Amino acid sequence: MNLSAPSSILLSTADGPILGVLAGTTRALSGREVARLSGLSANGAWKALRRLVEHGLVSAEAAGAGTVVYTLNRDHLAAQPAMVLARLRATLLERLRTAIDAWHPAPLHASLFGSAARSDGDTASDIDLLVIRPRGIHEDDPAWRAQIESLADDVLRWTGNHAGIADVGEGDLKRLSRDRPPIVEEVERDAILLAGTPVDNLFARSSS
Amino acid sequence: MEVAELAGDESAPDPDFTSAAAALTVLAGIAADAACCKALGKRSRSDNHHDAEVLLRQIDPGGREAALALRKLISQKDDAHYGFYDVTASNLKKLHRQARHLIAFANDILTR
Repeated sequence: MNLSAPSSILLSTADGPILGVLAGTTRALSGREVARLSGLSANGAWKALRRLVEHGLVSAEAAGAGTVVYTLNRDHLAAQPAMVLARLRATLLERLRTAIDAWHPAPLHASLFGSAARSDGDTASDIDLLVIRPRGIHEDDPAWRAQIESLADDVLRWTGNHAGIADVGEGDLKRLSRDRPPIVEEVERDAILLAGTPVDNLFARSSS
Repeated sequence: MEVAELAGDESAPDPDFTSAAAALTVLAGIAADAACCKALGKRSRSDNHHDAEVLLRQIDPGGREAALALRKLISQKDDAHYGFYDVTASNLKKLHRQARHLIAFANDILTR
């Protein structure tokens, strides 16, 4: 799947972002606001909204001065599946967190980074995960390896994308903090925390 | 694989060559995967080396273990590329071990 537009798996490139925006608020939004928040042109948003209103999935109300405001009709039969599709990315993060929370031994840190975190990948992009292995756990520890392999398999089944899991030992943090290869800055800028030590403290902590 | 081993001497790796040696090792492992897909009558033509894992896993017996070796090899290559870990002598040894495992598996398939 394309994690930068997950709902495009089933919805059109206009319907997906619009339903995502409307599913994220109960406030009535003008067409202009819907277009801005969904990243669509005003004309593209208006055409899609008109069609969704025609089907009853989106409600339109006059708000005076010629302005029409839109809300998702949450009672519509299609509202539930639309909201599920609009939350695919959040659902993936929830699944990743749930899976990693069950790990024994637990990682010192786990995060999503790379294009999946930045939302600029496509269907062929790997889903990059950084996992910091606590001191005392060898990378070939059978329980640890089994967790890594299981997570990689899960990610592929959940999304159709391969997982690229960077399994880094806690002992390497000191060198990474000191040398700061470009990936450190990328992780600090983009990573989404899944478990353990927050990204902001990860590299600074070891350099002190 | 021979070139990879020449480029990266496990006993005394030259820092100038270890990254190249790591990349060559991965290529050796991936080439082995292409050979072993003889068992399936096809090989991965994808740019994403991970796709080859899926094919490898379908080979029985030994495919699952080979797929895990390939995954680990790719992962170590990516980690080295990102700079997450140094390609030290011991890491290079591990890369060579995974690649040799894949090559041995491919040879086994070719002679089945």
